[in-house]
Amino acid sequence: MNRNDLLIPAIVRASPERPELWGRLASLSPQEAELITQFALPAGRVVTLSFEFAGEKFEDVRARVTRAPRDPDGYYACALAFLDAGQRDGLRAAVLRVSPFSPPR
Amino acid sequence: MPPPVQIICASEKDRTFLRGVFAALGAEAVFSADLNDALAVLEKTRPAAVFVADGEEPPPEVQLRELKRVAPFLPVVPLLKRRDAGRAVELMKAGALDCAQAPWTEEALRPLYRKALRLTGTAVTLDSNALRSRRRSLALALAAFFAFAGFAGGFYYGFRRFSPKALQPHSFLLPYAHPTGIVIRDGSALISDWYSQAVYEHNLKNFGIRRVTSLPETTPVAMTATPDFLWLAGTDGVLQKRLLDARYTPVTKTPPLSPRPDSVCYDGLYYWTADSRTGRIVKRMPNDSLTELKSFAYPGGKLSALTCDKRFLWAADGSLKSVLKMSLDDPERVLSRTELKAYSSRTLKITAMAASGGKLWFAGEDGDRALVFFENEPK
Repeated sequence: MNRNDLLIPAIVRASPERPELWGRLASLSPQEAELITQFALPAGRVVTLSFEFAGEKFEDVRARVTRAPRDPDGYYACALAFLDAGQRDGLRAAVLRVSPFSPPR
Repeated sequence: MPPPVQIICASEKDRTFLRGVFAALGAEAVFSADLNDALAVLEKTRPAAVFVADGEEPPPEVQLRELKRVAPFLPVVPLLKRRDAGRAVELMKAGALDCAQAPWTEEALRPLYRKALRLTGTAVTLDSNALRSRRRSLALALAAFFAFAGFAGGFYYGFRRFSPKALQPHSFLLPYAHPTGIVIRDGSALISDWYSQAVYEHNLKNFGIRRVTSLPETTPVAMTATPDFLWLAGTDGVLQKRLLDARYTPVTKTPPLSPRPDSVCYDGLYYWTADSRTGRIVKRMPNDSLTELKSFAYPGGKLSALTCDKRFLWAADGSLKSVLKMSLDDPERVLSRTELKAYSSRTLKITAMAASGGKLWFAGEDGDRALVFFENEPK
């Protein structure tokens, strides 16, 4: 497992009618992510994420909220599953770039 | 009482509002009008977190930078005047823990307040989860320990109870290793040792050593005593007659006897010598030469040591593991044979005997140690 320098802040768009929300990504992989946020996101909702990772900007990455349990502090730990195959490939490439086991350029 | 939090807010109206919100949260709030004021009291107040009101000078980005420089791990939460996700993310990239959205209600601030408090300081708790997970293995380990302790105790008890006792109850270990003769007289036990070439006088009650007499010119292989003299047999078959004084002063000595004796005793009238190698028992005259009267064949198995009193000859037999009682008139006739429990030790080698006061005393080697023990005279 690789660790980022900080919990990646991310902008979350849950609905076109509602203002954008925000949170931090506690974990990130090409297939899924965990978002820690103070805002309630119902399970099953499709959201888009925008964040910076490995020197690259990822905009409107589509994901589905699979579950969103609330922690004792009142924050939501939302499990997200990425939906777009192309976006997953981009994430995989970014993860490989920052992975300590990836070959040097 | 939770640790205090610091709020940087210039607006009196906002301070009043926030004072009510944080009071509802149960927080002790310390208010500062600006960043300078906050930095001045930061060291004194030691807040768990700092909440910075947006829309004032300097902007939260600057205040965040200055606060992080002084306290890098201090959680800072900007209170945004409007919901701006982009700005919130930028502030979080700059080091803010999170950003509170307007309106700054108790419900909106509660998660941020709790999360900020949780992030301050090292949490020290009993790890009950780990204890629970280890409970089963701990219980198994305890059960195994008690099972082993029970098994070991039972094994030890059984071993003690059912294994033959190698050492007799009335026995004493000797500080020397090669006893060859034993004499009981006047509350003492005299024991000769061929290796140290000495005679040791022991207290008969506790076998503490009273005296040690060195005999450098003699290697004693057998010993007996009369009321007046001590007789010591050497490796050359010569018996020396000595006074019962402090130095066991030599008086006379016999010519080399044949067979060379390694046991000698006095029955009150005659001397008896025995040679364990050939099994010959010789009756001798009570003169300075110990002239031979008659020779007998030992009637038992393997003669280890011989002694006598006024009534009988007694022999320790290593092959029969017994004590044989023989007639003084006919030593080749066994009057009784009694099993000697000490022979349960397979390494026991009895090298000397004495009969006194209804008891038979034995001296010998058992492995790498020497011992003395006594038994009641067999009936």
